[in-house]
Amino acid sequence: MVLEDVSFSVREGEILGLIGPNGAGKTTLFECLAGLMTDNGGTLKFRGKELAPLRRKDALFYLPDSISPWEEQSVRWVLGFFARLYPTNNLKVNELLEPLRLNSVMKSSIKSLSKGERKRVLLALGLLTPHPLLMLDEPFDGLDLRQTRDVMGLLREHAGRGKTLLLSIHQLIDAGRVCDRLVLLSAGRVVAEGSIAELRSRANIPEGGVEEVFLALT
Amino acid sequence: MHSRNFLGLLGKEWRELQASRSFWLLLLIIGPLVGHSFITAVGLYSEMSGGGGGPAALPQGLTPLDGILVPTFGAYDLAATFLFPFVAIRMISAEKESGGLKLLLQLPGTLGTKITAKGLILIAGWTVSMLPGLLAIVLWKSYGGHLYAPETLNLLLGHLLRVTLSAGIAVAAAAIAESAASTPAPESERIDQLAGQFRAKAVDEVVETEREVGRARGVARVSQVIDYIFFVLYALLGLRFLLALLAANSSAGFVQFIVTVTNPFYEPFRGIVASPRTDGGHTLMMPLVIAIIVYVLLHLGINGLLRIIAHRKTAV
Repeated sequence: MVLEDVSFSVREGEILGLIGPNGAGKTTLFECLAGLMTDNGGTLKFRGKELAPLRRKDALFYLPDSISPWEEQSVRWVLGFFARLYPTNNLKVNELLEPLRLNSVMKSSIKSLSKGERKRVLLALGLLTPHPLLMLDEPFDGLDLRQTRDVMGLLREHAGRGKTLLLSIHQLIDAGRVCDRLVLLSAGRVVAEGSIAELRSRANIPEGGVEEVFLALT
Repeated sequence: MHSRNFLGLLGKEWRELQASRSFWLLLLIIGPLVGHSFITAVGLYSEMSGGGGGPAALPQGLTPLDGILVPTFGAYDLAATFLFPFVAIRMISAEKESGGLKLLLQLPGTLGTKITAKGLILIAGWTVSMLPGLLAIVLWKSYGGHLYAPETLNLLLGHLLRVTLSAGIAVAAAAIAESAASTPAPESERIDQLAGQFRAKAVDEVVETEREVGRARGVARVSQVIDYIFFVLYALLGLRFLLALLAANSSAGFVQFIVTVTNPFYEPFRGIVASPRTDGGHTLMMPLVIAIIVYVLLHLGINGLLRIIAHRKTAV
């Protein structure tokens, strides 16, 4: 996926949603931002200073979608591994078990988890990192309605503590519920950026949800 | 990078090594191979040295290095070439395929420290696999055998250097390749296809879907391991055939090793038909050809049986 003229900003403690159809370039953008994929140009500024690709992991952490890391290991060990690597984060593993409903799977291996359980373990890994900016690719994919609601609450709580969240979401309804602002990406370009109200105004739709706005702008 | 973080990475790599089937396969194969080579080497050495009061055939020319250590540790030549590269490849490919590599690259520490951690654990794994060989050395000493420490150490370091090189090439290949699988692509496709068929059937019939698929995958895994063992056997028998055809020097360490390792598999076919031989010693070992054909049939038979088991397991 080729990205061109993609430019946007995210504020501290904000939940910014990156939305767009499949193939819009959301994952490519995340991987470029995280320094995992080489880009031909472009810069990332963090608190006014440019961050070189190799230094980006000091400021941001990217949690890819559909991964199953270290799948022979138990959930307890994987979470403990992250907690030991990032002792500077005051958050303890135990604090995430209840909200993410992980108590029952702690002894299970990663490979034995269902899609939803794996997603919740990955979210716990992301939240255990102390980075000021956390990028989550499809954080609600595989979660049921109740779990989605709980995870949204948890993300909101962490944003309230100052963590900045950049979420890639293809479910527009979910994006509208959790994000403070949205960036609409289509065919590798930013189509629009702003809060729902701002996007509505731009699309000339006084009423309507994210879906209507998205359809009007793309 | 903090030493605590580096220790954490080492711990992770060690656990990943322990979870690697290739590593356990290496350990499973290397023990009997070294043991068999050692027992045969001691027997031959004793015979040649005139043990038991008999005439000494080569009392002056055969040192413990040539007579015991080289044949015994010859098993590690095989391991370094055929087995250990798969262990090394899994250290990279497993994380690439699961997506864990994307997380690993973002963890504290430079790329160099992460590669170092993997390299150190691979060396530790190789050291563990050396235990049967080291045990053979201890046994040899307990029999009253002589060893010259510098040349023994030289041999061990030579093996370490060799395995480092082959593991390095394997890791580099796995890192560059889009998908470095531990099995040839057609085999993986066949396994995936088989597992896919099982999956579809199980879903349709709503019968403990994932468990059934897992079982099918388990059988496919066993089939992979059996394939690998047979391919190694074909390679060894093929090498012995080639060495005989080229009239290779039978006192060379490598030739001795190949003969020693393949003897148990060749024995039932020895003398089954004549082996044409030229004056120069070039031999066409026809019994080996028959042995390979029989092992191919056995291989096909075992795989057929596994397929039947897999199908029966998923039937409702």
